[in-house]
Order: sequence, then C-alpha cells, then structure tokens
Amino acid sequence: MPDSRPAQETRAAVTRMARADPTRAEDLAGVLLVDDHRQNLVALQAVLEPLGERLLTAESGEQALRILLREQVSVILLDVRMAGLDGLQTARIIRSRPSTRSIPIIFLTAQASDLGDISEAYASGAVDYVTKPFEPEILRAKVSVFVELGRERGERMRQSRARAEAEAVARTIRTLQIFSDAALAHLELDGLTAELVERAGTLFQADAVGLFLRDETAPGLFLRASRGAPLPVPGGDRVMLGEGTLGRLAFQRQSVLLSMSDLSRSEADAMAPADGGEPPIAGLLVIALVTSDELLGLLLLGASEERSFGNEDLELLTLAADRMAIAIDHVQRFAHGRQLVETLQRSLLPDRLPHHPRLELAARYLPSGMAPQIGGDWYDAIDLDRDRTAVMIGDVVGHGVRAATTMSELRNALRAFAVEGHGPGEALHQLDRVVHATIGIRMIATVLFLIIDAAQGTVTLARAGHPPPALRTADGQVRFLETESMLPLGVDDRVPPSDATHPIGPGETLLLFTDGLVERRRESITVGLERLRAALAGAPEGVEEICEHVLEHTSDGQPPGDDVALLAVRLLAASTGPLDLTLPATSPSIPLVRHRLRAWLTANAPGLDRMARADLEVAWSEACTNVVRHAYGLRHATFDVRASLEPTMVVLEIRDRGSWRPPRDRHGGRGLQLMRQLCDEVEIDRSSGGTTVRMGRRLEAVGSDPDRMTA
Amino acid sequence: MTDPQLSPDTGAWRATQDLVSVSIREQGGVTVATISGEVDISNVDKVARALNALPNVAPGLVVDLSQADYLDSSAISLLHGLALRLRQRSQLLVIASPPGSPPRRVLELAAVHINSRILDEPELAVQALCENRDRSTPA
Repeated sequence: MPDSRPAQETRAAVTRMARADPTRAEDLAGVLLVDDHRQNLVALQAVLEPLGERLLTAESGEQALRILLREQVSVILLDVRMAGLDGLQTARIIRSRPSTRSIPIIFLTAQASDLGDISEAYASGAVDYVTKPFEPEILRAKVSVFVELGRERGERMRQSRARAEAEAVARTIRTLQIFSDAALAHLELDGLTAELVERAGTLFQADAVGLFLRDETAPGLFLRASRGAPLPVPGGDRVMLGEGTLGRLAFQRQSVLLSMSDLSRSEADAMAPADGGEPPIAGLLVIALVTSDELLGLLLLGASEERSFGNEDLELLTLAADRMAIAIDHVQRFAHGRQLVETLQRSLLPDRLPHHPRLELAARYLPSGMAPQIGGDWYDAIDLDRDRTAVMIGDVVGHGVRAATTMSELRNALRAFAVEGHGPGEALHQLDRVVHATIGIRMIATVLFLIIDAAQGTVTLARAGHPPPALRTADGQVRFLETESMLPLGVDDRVPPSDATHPIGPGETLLLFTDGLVERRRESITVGLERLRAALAGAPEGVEEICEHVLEHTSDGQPPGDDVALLAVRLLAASTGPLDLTLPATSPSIPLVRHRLRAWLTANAPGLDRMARADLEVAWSEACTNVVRHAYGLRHATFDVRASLEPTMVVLEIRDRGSWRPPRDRHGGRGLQLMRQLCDEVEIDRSSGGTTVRMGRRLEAVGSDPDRMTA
Repeated sequence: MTDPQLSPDTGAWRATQDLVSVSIREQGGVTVATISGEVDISNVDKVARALNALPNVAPGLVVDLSQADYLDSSAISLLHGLALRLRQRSQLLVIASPPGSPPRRVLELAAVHINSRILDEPELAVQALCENRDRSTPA
C-alpha cells in the first residue's frame, strides 16, 4: 500500500530533525506519591529514586490536591484506601479540574477488588493500577513510561511553533512505535487488544475506547476490549455492518471524525446514561482496521465535551491503524491454529489437583518449542481414600491428536484400575493388556504410577519404561527411587507386574517428570538426571517453587525440544504440638495457612465442633489477610503464625514486623469485626517493631451460640 | 492480560490446588453464578473477573453460594461492591446460601442481608428475581 502524504511529510521532517540538537529544555514536572501511610511513601521513594525524577509526596488526598495547584506533575501514584478523602474521590476531583485532568494516575491497592469496579476506577482518571506487593522494576517501568509521555505533552505546550512541529513528528513516530513495538508481538489476542486499547486511550486522552473485531463465528464486529464511558453501540457489544452510522462506516472501511449529530438514533441512545443526563462523549474518532483489503475491525475513541479530537488526531491514528491491524491479524492467524491445539490439550490435562490434608501437590506442563502440536505428556492425581492418593505421569510417544486421545484413554483406564484397588504394578499390567487389545503394538507409551499412603508414610510405585521419580528428604538430599522397570506399554503384555514400596517421611518431596526434562540432544541422559538432581536439591521448600526452580535450572534457555511435564508431591507433617509457620506476606499464603490450620485443628483439637473450626479458619485468615494488605510490598516481608492449645482455649497468634495500623476503611474494618465476633478474645499489641495479634476461642464453647453474634 | 494458568517466569502451564471455580448459566432470563470452593484474598480477583461478565439486560444476578466451602471479608467486599454496581444499573443481586453453612454464617455476621437478599437455595433466588422483574413496569 503506497505511503499516504502525511507519512511522506513525516519522514522528511524526521530526516531534518535528526540533525538537530536532541537536548530538551530541563523538565521540572515531578512524580506525585500519595499515601497516608508515611512508611509507604518512604519505600515508594526508595523504589523510584533510581529514575532520577523529582519526587513529591502527600499524606492525604487534600494535601495532594494542594500540591497539584502549585506544582507541575507528570504522573500520580495514588493509594486507594486512605482515611478522609479516599483514592477514588481524590482521583475524581483531579480529573474534574482542567489543569490536572490529563495527568495519568496509577492506583496502588492491596487487591484489585478494592477498586470496586475497575471501569469506575478508569473512569475516575486512572490509567493503571498496581497491587501490593509491588515488583519494584515493574513499578519503575510504569512510572517512567508516563513520565516520558508527560514530558512530551509538556514540551509541546511550551515550545515555539517550529519546536511544536518537531515534537509532533517525534510523537507521531513514538505513537507508531507504541502500536508496533516488539512487546506486543508476544501477547495473545486478548492481551494484545487490551494493550492496544489502553495505549490508544492514554495517548489520545480519550474518555472512551473500544476495539471491535470481526469474528468468524457470527456476523458483525464484536467488542474485544474497551475502557471508559459507554460507546454509541446499540446492545453494547456488536457493530453490525451496514447498520447505523458506525455500521455504514465499517462497511465502507472509512476512518472519520464524527460529532454526535452524525450518529443514528439508536446509537445515540446507547450512550445515554440512566439518569437522563448528558452523554459523556461529544466527539468520536472512528478508525477502520484494514489488512490486505479486508476489514478486520473498528477502533472507536470518544472524547467528552471539554476536549475534542482534531484532524491531526485522525491522521495520526489512521497511520497507527495500519500497524495495529498487522499486529492483530498476525496474532489471530497464529492464535487460531494454536488455540485448537491448546484447547484440546488443556481439556486433557487436569487443571485442578486433589486437595489432601496431608499432601501438597503442584504440576507444570510445558509444550515443546516446536510448531504448535498437541503433545503426549500427561499427569494425573486422584484421591483413593482418606489416606491414599494415586499420582501418575506418562508419555505417549509422538504428537498430534492421535497421541493425545490415546493418552486420554490410558489415563481414564488407569484411574479406573486404581480406584478398583489394584496395586501399581498390577494396574500397569492391566493397562498394558488394554493397550494391546485395543490400540495394537504400534502405540508405545511410558507410565509411572505411584500410590502414596500418608497415614503409613509409604509410597508404592511401578514404572513402565518411564524415568523413576526423584525423592528429596527433609535435609535436602536427593536420590532417584530406582525400581525395576516394566517395559513400556504396547511392547509385550506378557511381562509380569512388579512394584516396590519405599518409606516417605514428613517434609519429603517426590518429583515425577517426563524425559523432556532431562534429555538433550548429544548429551547422555545421566548428565540430564544429574542436573535435575542438583536443581531439586537447591530448590526452595514449597511445591510450587520447586516446579519453577527445577524448570528454570534444567532449561538451557531454549524452549524444550520435547514436551515437559512435572508433578511435585510433598508429605506434610502430622503435627502435634503447636503449629509454627513463617510465610511471605503475599496473598497465596492465605489459603496455605488456612489449610495448615485446618489439618492442625483436626489432629490437635478433635473435640471442637465443625462450626467452631470454621469460625477459627475465618478469624485466622482475616488476621493474616490484614498482614498481607498492610505490610508494604517489599518482596521479602514475612510474618509468623502460631496455633497452640492451652488448657481451655485454642490460641492463634499472628506476628508481623511492619506497622499495622488500625484499619479505618471498610475492608480492614470488616475483617477485624469478624475476628472479634468469632473469637472470645482478641488482643492487638502494636509496637514499633511490629504487631502481634492474639486470638483465643474457648474449647467448650458451642459455635452456634446466638449470643456470640452480639459480642 | 496474562493467563493466570501460565507461570510468569517459565511460561509453563500450572496446575495448582486451585480452590475456586465459577460457573455461569442462564435460568429463566436470570443469570446464576455458582461459586464452588473457597474464596479469599488470593483468588477473589478471579471471582470478580468472572462476575463482571454480566450482560446489561438481565434483571439481576443470583450468586449461588451453595457450593462454596469458605468465605471471608474479601468475598464480602466483593459482594458489597457488586450489589452497588448492579443497583446503579437498576439490577438486583440475590444471594443463595444454605442456612447453617459456614459462608452463611459469615454473610450474616457481616450484615450482608441489610443490602442484599439472602435466600436458602438457588431455585428460590431465581424465583425471587423473576418475580421482581415481572412486577416492575416495562421500560
């Protein structure tokens, strides 16, 4: 497609500007940090200091507003939950003032649902939000993107016309880059559309953005990503080609700048707010996304009355539309093939593992780096009874739908044999007979099958041509549980079954894997096994971390040549005596700590009735949740918990080393209130070194005592 | 958005002891979201994402907690925000939770019933929403 005239002019101007002095005028705009918790401000400053920007701080929404009256600010980091004027209210006020309404706001929050409604948060002026604990590098990257954008905007306003033209050129180029940068190439379609919408909305300061794409399954263009105010689309989510003004433009593949009077009646009505007030959008940019002469979709940008789009914006977006269309088209083509494969694969692998009070399980599946092809690796885990869990992993040779469906059949058959009560060796033997009877000798599969008995502390395993599992003891020693192996399935079903039983103690971890993890071309498998052994020995304690660590330390940076599946199983201690744990102050610790308490209560306080145990779980989770919310987001923050039995009470203690303030907002307040309602005693001891929460519940108390409700 | 099933560092698919699942169905023109499992701060965002996919035209939402094993203030906050947001769109939130269950206890302690109706079973909740819709004047 020949370059449009604006593009040619842009290129000429760029060549001229390339020789000019790139030094810009000193920029005085700062980054405003708003948090009513002084310690958080200090930590934010530490994280952002390397950027070299001017940092301004405010300890309340009111103070932030006062600072904004006298200072130039390029981006605001705003804590959502503050006493007095909270984050959302402050953001709305900032946005209502013409002088500050275009300053990007990044919300800081402990969980996304603190923002209530994400679209409301965006409508109140946010461009992004970050949940605690923060990744310092990510926060820095986000802030510096907006500082850069703000810098550009500020400069355009200050400079002379010649300078303004040069900046417009730079902006054009930057805009185009933003829509075609390499990072977008790695996103899936949903991620890509969301990212494009966000970038378009931020760059053009739109009050509403919507990206509609053609879909193969139904006529019309469907809304794939949007932000901000409602768009003039009847029904909200679909543009029918040829219907209404938008449908007509789409059909004709035109990009235009519209005012509201250009819209059809039903389109205008679609934007009307429920209270009958003025629609929030007064001007609309409609950009057709076209590739190879085919309509891919529409991008809509709406602006409110206070600022409207100009022809310049239209030209810029039309240029950018080419790039967006290419990116979308590329992802769609690739995703289509991959999606089929992945959907099939995912439906064949369990995405939820059974939850056993004494076992922790985690699993990973990594498809090979080759062209998307469904693989034959699989794993499974099922509870057989209260004490025993069956865990299995296998590898069907080959790829393709045939291998995958075979894998699925084998897995189901093996499950059935296990549940029927067969030992591992016998189950594999039966399975082999099934393979020979139905599939024939051409299919070869390896399987490793374990039955773990948590009560007895044993693992019985049988393997058919599959690598043995690794066992890591509590003191970090790793060895492979070598047992005599049966032949792979599909070879010879006359070989008698064999299995072996090993002891397994509390805190010990088993790792099952497929050979993709340890095999590399031109390398003996012994080398791969040794590498795995070392990786497992050096891995952290938790099963999820073990999976990640092992994957990272056995890969050579390339995607694997063969599929990789691994499954980690850890036997927890049946603790008697107090339960003592130290955990990271992040949200995944909450269910972990609750399940440990559940197991501990069952073992140590059997007389406690079901309701009382449920109450304690809630109280304990609430106290730990408060630590996660209020401990500032440094990665290494941890907290300690202890559950113990006193003669007449169960006592739960939670200790952190941050400064846990009494919650004044409704979230933390709710948690504390629940704690008081569910326990007989709640003591909170705050000091400069940290906070200890101690909760007690009487053992003979009946959980459903109605008086408790008014405590 | 990154797929929560993918591990951010290694890109591998993860199977975890995933504690909650949300399934959504239509019944009598009413949307019913069934939450199975446990909801706390670690996965309440996942539940929120699923519940946000409610179409504008339904008279409201039934949140069916009969399959929920555990709830705390994270879910309470979510339900509270959801009820407010629905009300702004003239939609109703009705919660189904069996009496005597731990989630019901937490709902009552947190006084959720002041803002939203809580009924004992999902069928009753669907019925209540349908009656409410049929009674209101057409737009």
